[in-house]
Amino acid sequence: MMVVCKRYAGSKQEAEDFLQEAFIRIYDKLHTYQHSGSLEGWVRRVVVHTALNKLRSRKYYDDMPEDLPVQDHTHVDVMSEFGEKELMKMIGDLPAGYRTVFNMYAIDGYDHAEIAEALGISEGTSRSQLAKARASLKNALEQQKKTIDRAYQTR
Amino acid sequence: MLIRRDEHQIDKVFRKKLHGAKEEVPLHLWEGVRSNVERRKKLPVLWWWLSGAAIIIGVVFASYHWNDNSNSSWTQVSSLEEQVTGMEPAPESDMDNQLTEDVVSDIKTESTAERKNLDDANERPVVSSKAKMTSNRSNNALKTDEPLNIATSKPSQVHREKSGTTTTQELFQRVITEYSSQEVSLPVSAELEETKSEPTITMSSASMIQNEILGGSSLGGMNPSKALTQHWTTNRLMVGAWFAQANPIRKPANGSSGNLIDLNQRTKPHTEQAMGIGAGVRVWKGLSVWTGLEKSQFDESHQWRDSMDVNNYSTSVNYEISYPIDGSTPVITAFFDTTVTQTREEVSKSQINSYTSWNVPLFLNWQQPVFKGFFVAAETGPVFRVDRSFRGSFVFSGLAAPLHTNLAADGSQGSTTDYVYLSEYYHNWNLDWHAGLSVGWMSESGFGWNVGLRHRRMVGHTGSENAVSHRIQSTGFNIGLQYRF
Repeated sequence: MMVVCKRYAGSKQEAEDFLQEAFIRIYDKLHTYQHSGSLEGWVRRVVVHTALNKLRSRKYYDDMPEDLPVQDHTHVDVMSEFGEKELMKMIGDLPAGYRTVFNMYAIDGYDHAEIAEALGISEGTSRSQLAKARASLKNALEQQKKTIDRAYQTR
Repeated sequence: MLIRRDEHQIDKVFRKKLHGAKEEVPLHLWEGVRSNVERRKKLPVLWWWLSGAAIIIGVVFASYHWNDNSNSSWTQVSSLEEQVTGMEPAPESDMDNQLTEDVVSDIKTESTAERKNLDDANERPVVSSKAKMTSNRSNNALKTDEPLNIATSKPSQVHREKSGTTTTQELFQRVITEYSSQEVSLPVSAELEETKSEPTITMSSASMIQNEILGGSSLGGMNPSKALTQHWTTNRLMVGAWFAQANPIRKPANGSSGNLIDLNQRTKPHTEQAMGIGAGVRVWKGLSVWTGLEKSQFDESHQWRDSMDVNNYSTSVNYEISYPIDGSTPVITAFFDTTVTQTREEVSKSQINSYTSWNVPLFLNWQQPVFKGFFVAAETGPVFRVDRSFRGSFVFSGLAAPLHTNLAADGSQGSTTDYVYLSEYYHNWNLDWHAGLSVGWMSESGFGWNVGLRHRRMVGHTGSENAVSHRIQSTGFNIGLQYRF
């Protein structure tokens, strides 16, 4: 769950804040757990929702522009070269809006309607933010790849 | 794990690498949760006590104020009493505006519906990792009347219960066990309690470091204040508005001789009202620095005894009768002789004096979160006060009687409702000291309110050349609204 929080947070300190708040909320809400699914899944959802609530309270999503989705047909074949740490840093470097939508859609499995409802934005905005997040991540991956390649060549 | 048909390559790799990623939970975080949970058990009681005390004190002050205002008669000190007819109540100014806005934050409650398509990791049993854990636990029943050692009580199959018979204690025990690696003691909250005893869930799960969900953590180097520290690291700028009503107690500092000393002691503060706006900047944890602008009005019942000369008139009538020689009717002539004797009598006069001021507070404020958004706060600091205007009667040393502020140049008296802007006769600048205690509530969206007591030690509004020089202790309550950015 710490990784989940770090994916949504802008800093480690913020992630710890999210996680602590989430555990306290779990403590409060556990009696509402319906036994209809895995406890881990329920806990994960509470953690994600707590992070979203905290982020929303900081008004990160107020100024999300609704643009046309960025068409991106990138085939990235360099992913396997990067470890968890590098990928986490790339996500962490994204603007809050991109980061949140990408996390929700790509990693946590929410669809755009759910994201729109959770963040109080339109589905179009969600799609746009996702496309931009992907484009930013692609650039970051390519830059990182070039850096690694240069490092190998200079050896 | 959910795999979308149109899955983007970047999504795929990030999900593959990060969805199952694990990282140790920082050690202090558990202590933050623990302290928060313990505080929740204790502080609701404190909160109710503080609220009750604040209400009682508020009622006492309100009733005192009511009685004080309604009791407008003064003891007659002499046979001759002259009530000043210009006695008027405190003006109903903008001080009467009540801040009644209730700001209610809408806190969204998480849905408990299970997401079926979240990922397959959520759905699959976590037997694989749990199988490594040693379990000495013979059954799942939590004995709530004694500490439960979960160190070796990890269920071998966490998700096996679907029957709905699992107690909330067991669930919470399970959640904590998932995320802890060493002993943590958490009191079971009221919501989780199923007995009246106060059981403690003791977890020791060093063997669960590699648990499925978090990757585990170890405890140690705990920082009890970490939980609060985390909350305090955000929302650094605040704005607020407040309204205060106080009942001052006057402490005469000096007086002139004779009649003026007596007059000094008969000046009785009535009320102090203030309203203001301000902004604060959080500088460290719960500590913030506040400043703002406040307008206050201070009323005092002013009674004095005065001596005045009274003329007593006595008239005697002398008759002179003239008898004419011719025997006609006598002529009676009356002579009136009036004698004036002057005596000195004491009279009692009373008036309500009103002062208006602009105040600039500079407070250090400490806010301590206690329970579900509720907080207690304490503040102290100087208040720079600029006395702005006055109406009423002043008593100067050397004057036999109070001087009304709006005496015209020719000595005639103007309207008693007029304010006079203070000038060289009075202290325009004063430095007061403020202290306050309050309780309040702050929503996650940043809106909040607070109510509490405040106390100010004030320099008297009038200068040393005035007989009524004094210090004032003003105690009352205030209500306020806050918004945190």
